[in-house]
Amino acid sequence: MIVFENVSKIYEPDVVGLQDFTWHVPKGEFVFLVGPSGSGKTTLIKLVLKELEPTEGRILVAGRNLSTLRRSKVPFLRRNIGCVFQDFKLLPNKTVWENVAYALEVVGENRRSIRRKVPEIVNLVGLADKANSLPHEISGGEQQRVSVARAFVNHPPLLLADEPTGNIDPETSIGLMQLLMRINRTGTTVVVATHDRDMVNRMKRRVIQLEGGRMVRDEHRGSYDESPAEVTGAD
Amino acid sequence: MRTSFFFSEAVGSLRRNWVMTMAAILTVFISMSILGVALVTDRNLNQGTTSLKNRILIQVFISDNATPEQVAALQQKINSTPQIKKSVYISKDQALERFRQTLGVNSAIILKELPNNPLPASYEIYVKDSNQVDAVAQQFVGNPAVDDNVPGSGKHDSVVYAKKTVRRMLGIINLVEKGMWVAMGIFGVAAILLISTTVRLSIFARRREIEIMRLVGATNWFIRWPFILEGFITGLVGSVLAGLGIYAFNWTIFKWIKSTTLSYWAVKIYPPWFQSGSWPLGLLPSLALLGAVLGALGGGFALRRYLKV
Ligand SMILES: Nc1ncnc2c1ncn2[C@@H]1O[C@H](COP(=O)(O)OP(=O)(O)O)[C@@H](O)[C@H]1O
Ligand SMILES: [Mg+2]
Repeated sequence: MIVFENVSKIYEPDVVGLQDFTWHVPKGEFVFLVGPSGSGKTTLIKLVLKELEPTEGRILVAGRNLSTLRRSKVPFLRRNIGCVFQDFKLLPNKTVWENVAYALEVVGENRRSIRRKVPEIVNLVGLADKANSLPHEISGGEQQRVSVARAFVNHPPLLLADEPTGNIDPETSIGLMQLLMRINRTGTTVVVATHDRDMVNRMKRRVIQLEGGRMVRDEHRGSYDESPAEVTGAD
Repeated sequence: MRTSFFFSEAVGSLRRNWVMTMAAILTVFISMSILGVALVTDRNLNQGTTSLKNRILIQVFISDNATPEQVAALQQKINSTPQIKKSVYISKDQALERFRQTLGVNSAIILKELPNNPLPASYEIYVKDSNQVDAVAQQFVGNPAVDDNVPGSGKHDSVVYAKKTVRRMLGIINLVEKGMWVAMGIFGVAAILLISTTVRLSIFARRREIEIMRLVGATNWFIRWPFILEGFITGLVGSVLAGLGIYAFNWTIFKWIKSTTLSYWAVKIYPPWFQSGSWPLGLLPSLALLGAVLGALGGGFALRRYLKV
């Protein structure tokens, strides 16, 4: 699903975002990206979205080579990638229902299928009774579930989450993680960048640890360790 | 296919950001008003000067006793004078016909008494530069073909031309007209700058929204359309208001001029359709269209820097 080959991203003038990074995420996998703040997690996610161009190296997403992907095709790449962010990124003046529907409007879905799909996904994330609320009228955890609903309503093959639990309390976070696991079980590849040690340790999934833009650990059924262990071979 | 979606997006955002919308409409209204007033004034002045300019003509009356050779020589002299733009020959019959028209319904009674046509034939001479009227006119005084016995006009009126005051007035109007063009140029540029600044401000306020649209995979055109529609609606409303305002303004001035001793000029400088109170059919749609197109372009162009990937 995602292939990085010796990818580096150096911000102007010489800040290292990511350095000589190689990884491979097979279809259907659930991956945690961990590491201290400034270690390059967000940079990595932006590279997958082609929001940033790598300084060096090659990136493939869902079989597309991002360096040769034309700019006008980027929106179509993004329709195959659901995104969830720490700050939710909901349209503030649209209701829960409209925020989710927006992702379908964008891809040219017709009225009838929008009316069918939106309630389905709003139910799935457990917000049926909040469908007509505006983002500022619901809690952070609920807003984040709206953003997951929007990311997943198109059933994209890949879902990226950048610190999705960063702004919500621990108990709500567990529910959100379980939601992401459920999405993963439908066959969607899920990549979650996080600080949240408890969460990572509880889930026992593949963990990739970053430090200073480099991969320092890649461990299946791993945990979030303070001290980087030896880099185990990636598959 | 997505028109209703785009339209409701545009209207919704105009309503939500109503302060910005008001500011934008006001901007369009002010710029378009200035532009429109300049256009209207220019047109009125044109109308006025045309009627003035028509009076900068030299009338050279031909003596009834002039021989054909003398008339031919006069014609030759007119044709060979470089300052002359054009000349029109008015025969005795044409002169009488004009006179009859001036008299109107009473002409038959008055003219019945005349044994023969007392009116002389004449040349109406238009000069290229109104400042040369004096010099050109003097060349025909004392010409053997020229009548120095025009009935009721005295010996020296055989060559008749516009007075200095009229010409001075024309000079002033000419200057005002040139100033108007400069002003129109300046305000036109100012209008475009103001509109695009207003649109840019509104887009800056919504850059997060645009970022989100791009993240969920909206194409640039999908993002652009609501903004273009917004600009279009804003421009349309602002300029239609301006058109109505200009009409009211123009009408007030017209009424005012008519009520003063200058009422003659109200008739001279306002087109007849206006005086009868009809709508500014040409002005309103062209202003509205201009405003709407400017608005739409402003909306589309101002987005550019936010749509770079
Ligand atoms: N737009 C930017 N310009 C310059 N430096 C940046 C930019 N974005 C991130 N960085 C730097 O790149 C490094 C990695 O940042 P980031 O990917 O945001 O880390 P993380 O998400 O793990 O906290 C940091 O040193 C950060 O300061
Ligand atoms: Mg980050």
